[in-house]
Amino acid sequence: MDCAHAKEEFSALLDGELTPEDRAAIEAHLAECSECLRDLDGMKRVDVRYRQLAPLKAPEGLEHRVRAATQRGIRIRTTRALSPLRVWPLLASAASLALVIGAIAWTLHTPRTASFKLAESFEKAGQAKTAPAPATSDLALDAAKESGEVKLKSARREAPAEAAPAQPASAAAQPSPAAASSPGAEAMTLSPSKAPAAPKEAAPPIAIGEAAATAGIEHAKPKSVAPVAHDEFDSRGKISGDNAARSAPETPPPSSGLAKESLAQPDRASEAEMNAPTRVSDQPLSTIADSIAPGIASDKGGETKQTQAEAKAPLPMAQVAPVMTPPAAPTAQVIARKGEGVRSAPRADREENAQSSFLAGATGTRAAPSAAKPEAPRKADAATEATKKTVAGRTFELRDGVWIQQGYELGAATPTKVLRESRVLKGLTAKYTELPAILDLGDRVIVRLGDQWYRVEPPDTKPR
Amino acid sequence: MVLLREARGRSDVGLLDECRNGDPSAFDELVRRHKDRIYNVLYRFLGNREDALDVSQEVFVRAYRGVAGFRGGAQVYTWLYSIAANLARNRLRDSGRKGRNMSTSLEALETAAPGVAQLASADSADSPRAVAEQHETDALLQRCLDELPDHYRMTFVLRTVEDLSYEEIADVMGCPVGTVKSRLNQARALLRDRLRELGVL
Repeated sequence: MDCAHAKEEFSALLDGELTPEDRAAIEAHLAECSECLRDLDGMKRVDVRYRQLAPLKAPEGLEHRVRAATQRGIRIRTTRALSPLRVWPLLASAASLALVIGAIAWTLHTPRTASFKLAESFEKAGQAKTAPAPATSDLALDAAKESGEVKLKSARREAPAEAAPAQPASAAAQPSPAAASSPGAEAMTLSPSKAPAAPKEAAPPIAIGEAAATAGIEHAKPKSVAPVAHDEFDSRGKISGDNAARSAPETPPPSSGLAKESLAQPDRASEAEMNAPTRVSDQPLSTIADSIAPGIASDKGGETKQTQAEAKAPLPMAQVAPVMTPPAAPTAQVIARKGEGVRSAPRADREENAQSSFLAGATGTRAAPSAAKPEAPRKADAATEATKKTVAGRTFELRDGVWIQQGYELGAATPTKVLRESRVLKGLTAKYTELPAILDLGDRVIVRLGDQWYRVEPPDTKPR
Repeated sequence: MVLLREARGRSDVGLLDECRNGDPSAFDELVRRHKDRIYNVLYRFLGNREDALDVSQEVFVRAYRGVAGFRGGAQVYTWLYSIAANLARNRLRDSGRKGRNMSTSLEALETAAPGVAQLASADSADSPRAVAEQHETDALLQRCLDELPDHYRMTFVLRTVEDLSYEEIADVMGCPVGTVKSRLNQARALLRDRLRELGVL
């Protein structure tokens, strides 16, 4: 055996992968070739060196990130190669079907001219829906699809009873509560004490409808993971019962938060679209048509869609309304599901911009509300959802009425409680200039300042 | 929690079955079992912690979504390694950041490998100087690894760091055993020559 041949086999020799014959031949060569012996020895040392490298442990956050990305069916943007092709067509068809049925129901119960124009608008919206959009997960898809189907059925069923001119949109709004009473949603009935007040006298029909619409959407989404969420939160003793299912654990790190939100968008947007037409009850038709058209033009899916929709919005983009709002202003909440323009909207704008957010929602073909029967408080109860906002570069998620900064793990650290209006909070506000914007998120906020977690509470409440 | 406890007694394949049957806690257990080795191999391959963490997450998300596609005959960990190898190569290709890990400073590598620091400092007999030297050597070894061609590097890491057999590596990399053998030989020879140059061997 010559040197070149021998050198090709060194590695296999070291790994014991040679046949006895080959091994004997090489050893014979090595006995008389000091250079090869030296090279082989060098290889051996290479292995020794690298085997001595300390094995690294995965960072603590990995498990959590994986769980968040899988159990809630949300894809995290760090993945470049995920293919959305598989799920999107199904999602689109479910949404389109819902729109068509909604339009039919609408036609039956609206004054002639109005319904004609609206149906036309809905058709356009339906066409826009078929544009490609970023991936949504299988779970999200299933949920969206189911939700859509449930809504269709109930739209048929309930439509005839809803012909009152004062609420022309209610036929299409009915499906949401119906979805909430589907088997999956039943398992997640929300604690009434934490639900927003039932829409009654003062609330405009728009807001009521939105609450109801959101109920249907929200319930459809997380039900497939509800049991896990239960287990997780119960064990930590922080959030238990059915609310845990809604606020399933998901605290991805900031790096992926934004992308995830945008990826989560399509399923929500499409569901909102199903209800979109119903929102128009109080709007002049011309306004409706205007607001729908840009949405169609910009409906290219995903982030692009959002951005363009915002650019074209005739009025300022508004807000994500916390679903678990304190009783102070529950009825006028508008659920404009997350979006770029949504995140930084200060809380004070929320109520004021209810109207504009409607338009913005319709423009972006998302977050569209619908009117519902005011005498259905249970439907409004179900209008709870986890919502996200990014403020001062941090992402917050609304859970159980509390805006929680991403990265905060339930049970992992006990946040320092700070009351609003307190001297401590003032001190913190002076020190951390980003804090006021964060506190605008809502009454209750869990936020990290320096290396400490703080839980900001209204002065007159007990810890939840 | 009961489910989680039960999961610990099951085989990887059993856990995958459970996962297919709709028990997400089974997948959590799989992640717990394999996250360190997946992270470690990705760190050695990609050369930095951020990418290793990102791709590790991708690996498990992919696996979760591809549970149905798992071939019964294979080992779960080789399946995970193969996902990791593909995604890691994609990461390098897409980001065009091949140069990034190669240009990693020794200092950055040290801070990026806290596991090394912890292990070294756990041994109280080691002087701070010895610890620092160890860090430096480890960083140097990683840099030399970074310089290897991708296929050589992955093959070498799977063999020497992760201790997979030639057959398993062939399975992970989707290539014949003969290719594994020749790549390993090349990788070791390149590393030997480079470390000699640097005076480490």
